[in-house]
Amino acid sequence: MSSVDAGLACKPADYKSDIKPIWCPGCGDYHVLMSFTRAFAELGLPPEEIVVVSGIGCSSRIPAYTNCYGFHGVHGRSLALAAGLKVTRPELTVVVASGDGDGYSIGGNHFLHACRRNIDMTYVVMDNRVYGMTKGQPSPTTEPDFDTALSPGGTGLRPFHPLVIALASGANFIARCFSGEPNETASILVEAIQHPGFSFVEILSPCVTFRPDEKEWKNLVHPAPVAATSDPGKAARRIMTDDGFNIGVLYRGDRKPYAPAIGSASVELTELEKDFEL
Amino acid sequence: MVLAPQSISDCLFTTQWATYLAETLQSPAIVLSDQFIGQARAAIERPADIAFIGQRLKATEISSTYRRYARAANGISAMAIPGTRGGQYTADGLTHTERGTPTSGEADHGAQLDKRREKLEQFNFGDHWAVCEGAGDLAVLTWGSLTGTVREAIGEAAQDGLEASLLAPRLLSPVQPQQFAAALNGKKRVLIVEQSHGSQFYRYLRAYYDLPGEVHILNRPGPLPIRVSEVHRAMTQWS
Amino acid sequence: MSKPIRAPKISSLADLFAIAYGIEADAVERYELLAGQMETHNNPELVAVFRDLCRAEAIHRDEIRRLAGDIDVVAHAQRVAKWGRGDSPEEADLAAAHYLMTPWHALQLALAGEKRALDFFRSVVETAKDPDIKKMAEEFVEEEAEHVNLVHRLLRKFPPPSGSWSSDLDPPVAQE
Repeated sequence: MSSVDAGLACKPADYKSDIKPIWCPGCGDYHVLMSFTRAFAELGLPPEEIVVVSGIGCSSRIPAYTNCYGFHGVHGRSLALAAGLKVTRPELTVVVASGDGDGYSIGGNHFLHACRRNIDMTYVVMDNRVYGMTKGQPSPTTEPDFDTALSPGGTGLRPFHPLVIALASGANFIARCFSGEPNETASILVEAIQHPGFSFVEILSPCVTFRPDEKEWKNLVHPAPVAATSDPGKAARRIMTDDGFNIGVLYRGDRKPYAPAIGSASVELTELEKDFEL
Repeated sequence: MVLAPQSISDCLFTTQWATYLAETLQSPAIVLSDQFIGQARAAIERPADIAFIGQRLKATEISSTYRRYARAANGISAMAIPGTRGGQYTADGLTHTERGTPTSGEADHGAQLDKRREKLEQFNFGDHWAVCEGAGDLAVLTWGSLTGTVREAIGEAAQDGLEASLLAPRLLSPVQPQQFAAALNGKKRVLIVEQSHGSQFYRYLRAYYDLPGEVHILNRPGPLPIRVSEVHRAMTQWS
Repeated sequence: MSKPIRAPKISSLADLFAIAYGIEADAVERYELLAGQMETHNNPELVAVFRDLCRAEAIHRDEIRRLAGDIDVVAHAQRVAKWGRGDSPEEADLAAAHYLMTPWHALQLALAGEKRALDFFRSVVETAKDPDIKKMAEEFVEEEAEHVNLVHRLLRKFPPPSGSWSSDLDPPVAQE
């Protein structure tokens, strides 16, 4: 019997399914899953009232590893699916899981408008700076000098800066975490879920197979040198100068979340006819 | 499922039906309108009130053995709605077990494919699957917005003493072989009319159905719609 | 850059038992997770090693529960056994796992965990003001020291692997 059923304080194990992840041993996403379950336990939400929506990629396998409702949708479209769900079922807690490929490449357009719409949900992107599931192609956040047989000499392209895009597009809460610190990541996820509006949390999550150099991230991440701000101008200056390894909450906004009034739709033609009466 | 409305007013009916089918069968439905309908405007008779109320089969009593994609006699599995305790599952695009767990197993893949096929094969789509009108040993087959054109051409041919029947499927997929065979029973000539350069509709019919007797095809691409006179000529100048 | 772990506060004997219990319980879960990973990735030797470590930690965990007597260590651990940063001491480093890892690697992870636990209880002995807490912590120090020795003995059976332990004739990287 789970803790929830027994009326006890929730444990992370209550939010974990019995399905064994297929991630490579050493993958940062194991810690991200831990952060998810610890955050849900901290919030004390019944598992059946949480929905984890994802797209395609290694990170997007996460819904099935939780004991919540999940939707493993099509590539890059998790935000569209989640928006539809949240708008029609506002009482549910909707967490969207994605990766740098799914979220910033094919899903990049949805990202902009999800930030702009500011629907109350939490978007978690596990960024490993590579297309992992398809075996190692550069992603939008890959460094320009990442030199492999798939990108000889590196792409030479400036990487996408998701925190800047999120801020410019209107996200109401922006943070960066590191998967290797699951307790702190869990704390930030709790805050992100509780913060009204669209919360964006980027989690640096190393890919042990196609980016073994990312093992070094544990030595590069550091707490952000300045405190979080609610001033978009300050946040913009700060984010533009960060080194990509600042950890913590960067911005907390106060925009009102988008929540359209969903009443019972009229299905009677006589009602519609009134709009067309001469 | 693929459904094709036949006129402006039929768009409402076909979309209502498609929504009902999608909810009832938990399968996606495409409503295949066309540009002629989409860019036309007409004064029509007031449509009938909604005839279909689609209701998804929901799992409200959740037991410990609940499986989202359990094989049922009619292929339709009850769906637990988020918020229902104990019904948690992940809706997965990957091949999955009855529980919804991703799998690469042959047996699971086969079972779910069979289930999806059973849903559509066992369902009784009724008479709405096609418009079947008229008699005679000549059948004129078409679909979509050409249905009205063909109906008018058949009317004109009747005044010339040539009797013909119209068969216009509204349900393009899944195919209905028994109903199709019944509709073309006794026909000696079949005229296929389609606005298509590569006679796609004819090839679709050939792929899934038996066409009796002698078959002629009247096809050309747009942008000018096939006229009543063209169909009438093809019917009456059969050689 | 290694970061200090923020250990939970120990204000009572119940806290100490709960935290000690939590350390072993977390280790059981972690080794079970690693066993599952090795099973998925077809490394049966490591499945056996991690399952053995899991069983050993379960014995330690159950012993602490017995020693705690009437104290409900399970419920109390949920309240107090929260490690501020990273994992609790005996949780093996997930990032160090590798699908081709050898028993030697697994035992090195176990050794590191036992040493961290030993250091933790030593610090409790040094800083505890309550004599009961100090005394119990000293027992835990002895226990953990024995665990460290046990792992050293196991390591004698498994020599360090060769330099090519991680080379894979059919690697996941398709493009070379």
